[in-house]
Amino acid sequence: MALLFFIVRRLIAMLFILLGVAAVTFFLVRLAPGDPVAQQLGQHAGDVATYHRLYHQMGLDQPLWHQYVTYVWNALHGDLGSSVVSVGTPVTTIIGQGLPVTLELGALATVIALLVGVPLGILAAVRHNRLVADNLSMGVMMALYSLPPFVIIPAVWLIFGILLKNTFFHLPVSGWDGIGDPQYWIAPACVFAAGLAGLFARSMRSFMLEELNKDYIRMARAKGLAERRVIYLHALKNTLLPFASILGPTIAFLVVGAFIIENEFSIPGIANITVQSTLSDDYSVTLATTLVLAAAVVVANALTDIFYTVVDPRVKL
Amino acid sequence: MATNNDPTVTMPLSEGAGPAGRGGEPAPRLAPDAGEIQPTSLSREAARRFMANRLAMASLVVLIAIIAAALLANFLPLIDPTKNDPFNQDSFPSRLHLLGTDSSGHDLLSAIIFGLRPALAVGIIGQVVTTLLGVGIGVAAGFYGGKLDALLSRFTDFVFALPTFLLAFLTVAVLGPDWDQFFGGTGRIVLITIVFGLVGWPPLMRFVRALTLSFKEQQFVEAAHSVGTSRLKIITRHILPNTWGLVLVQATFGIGGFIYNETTLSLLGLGVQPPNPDLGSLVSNGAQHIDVNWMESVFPAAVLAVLVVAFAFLGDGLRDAVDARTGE
Repeated sequence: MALLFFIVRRLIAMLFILLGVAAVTFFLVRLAPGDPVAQQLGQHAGDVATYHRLYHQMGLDQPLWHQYVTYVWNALHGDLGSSVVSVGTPVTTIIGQGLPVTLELGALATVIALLVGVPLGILAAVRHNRLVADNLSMGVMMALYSLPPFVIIPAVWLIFGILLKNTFFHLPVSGWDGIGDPQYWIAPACVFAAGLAGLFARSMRSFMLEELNKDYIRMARAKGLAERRVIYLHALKNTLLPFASILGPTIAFLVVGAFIIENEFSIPGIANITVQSTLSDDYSVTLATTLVLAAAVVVANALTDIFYTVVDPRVKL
Repeated sequence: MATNNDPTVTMPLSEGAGPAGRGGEPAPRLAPDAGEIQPTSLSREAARRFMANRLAMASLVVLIAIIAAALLANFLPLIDPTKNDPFNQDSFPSRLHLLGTDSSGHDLLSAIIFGLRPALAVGIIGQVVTTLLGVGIGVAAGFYGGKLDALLSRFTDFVFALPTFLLAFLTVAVLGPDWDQFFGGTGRIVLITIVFGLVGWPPLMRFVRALTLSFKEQQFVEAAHSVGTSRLKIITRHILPNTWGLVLVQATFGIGGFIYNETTLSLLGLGVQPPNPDLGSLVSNGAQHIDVNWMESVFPAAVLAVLVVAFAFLGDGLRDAVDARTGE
């Protein structure tokens, strides 16, 4: 029962946080210089009557809090307004084009990072304090984790875009052609995955080390179980729970990473759309895409909290 | 060197361990040159552990050198980083331009050194603000408890849930140009620092709150209470000194994180505006000319890499030094 209360309370808190984030973003965007009405009218901006009609139509004559409530209400009904730059295009359509690309890229990066990071982390813990498997490998992972991806990107372009030009390994430095065309996603997804792999490897190593020092592992070894069984069956299972706790940071990491990767590799994802929209003062798009990304972070954090509490009965409510 | 007879300065190994009744008799030396065991403190032990860590010491030296270069850039014999050299654009290293020039003919060496400033300013000042807020709110919540704690903790939960990077991105995109005008070109650095500082403190607050809660129950605080020490004095004299080592570790990691975010913003064109140099935009502008001159992006990227990784290794070293449990 207490658990149910906790979940409900956490979800309500999440809703309030979402509303708060929406409010902060909404009012920030309203502070933006520029006149959305004039922007939409373009060359007809001089016509006073049309100007006032549109001003009223866009609800700008309402008090600010009223505009906010209207915005949230409409957003909940799937209406996020329309773009001012490509006049008339609903923002939801723009998001619908960008979001799948971002999700695909993020999923690819996460899978690559898991495949690289988790085994390396386990190996480092099992071979604790060995030069290659632990110290060197974790040093590299630490560097990958702390390096912004755009530091790695010039090197990748130099090697795969220029030095290996006209060879089999040549990779295009920009563009996107869906998940079915690996030559466009291999480079961005790997650069994207690098930092995440560092996070996974380092977390996995410390969780695994902690488990391996516990009594039940000593017990398993004492009764003569094969070392492989001790590590992969007993210890590994118990690292999955703490590993779930880095889901939240992972999503936050993916969001910041998406801005860098999509911008540098000219991938038409939602982060790239956000950046482009600020450059062209298309603030209804900026507002909506920022909200979508922020909501992803907030919801991921809430779900991590809930999942962790549900699975681990030791967490005090 | 003090003599063995002065018990307040030196502490022979055998003291306390030897059988009672030996009294004032000086302990016999085991070996002629074993040396005296100096009295030690937790922080001195931590410093010793830190200095034994070569990677962390190297990082510290590198960071001091980088920060000194950025601070003293005006006094170094450098070409004005905003000056164009129309005869040397995208040029490779030469005697005139030691690291070559970028696509507008700016001297790369000078641009890199001056370009460190925004990143370091945001990282270090932002982290100072974050640390003050986090420690202040955390200690208050942990020490006074009750309603204040509940209120501050809920508030922290809210701020923690705000996506820092997105907020900074939006704020700078919307307000950046105005602030630039108001502060004369570097306003958005102030803006970025404020946003990072105001939004980044929740993890530190939770950390300090947890530490304070555990210290509050310990005997040294109880003892201070019982002799009538004021609450303020207990906080400043007994609790805060016990947190600073671990806080320093968190702050060091935090600086690297802020630099990461600041350079990402400038990569997106939201950092310091040209012609003022900025590390993030140097990397991204250079990357666009990578087929003409690959050094243009690789040099600033390498400096940025060294900077961020050095903060990470420094933080790692500090953590191992301060928190003896993680050491081997």
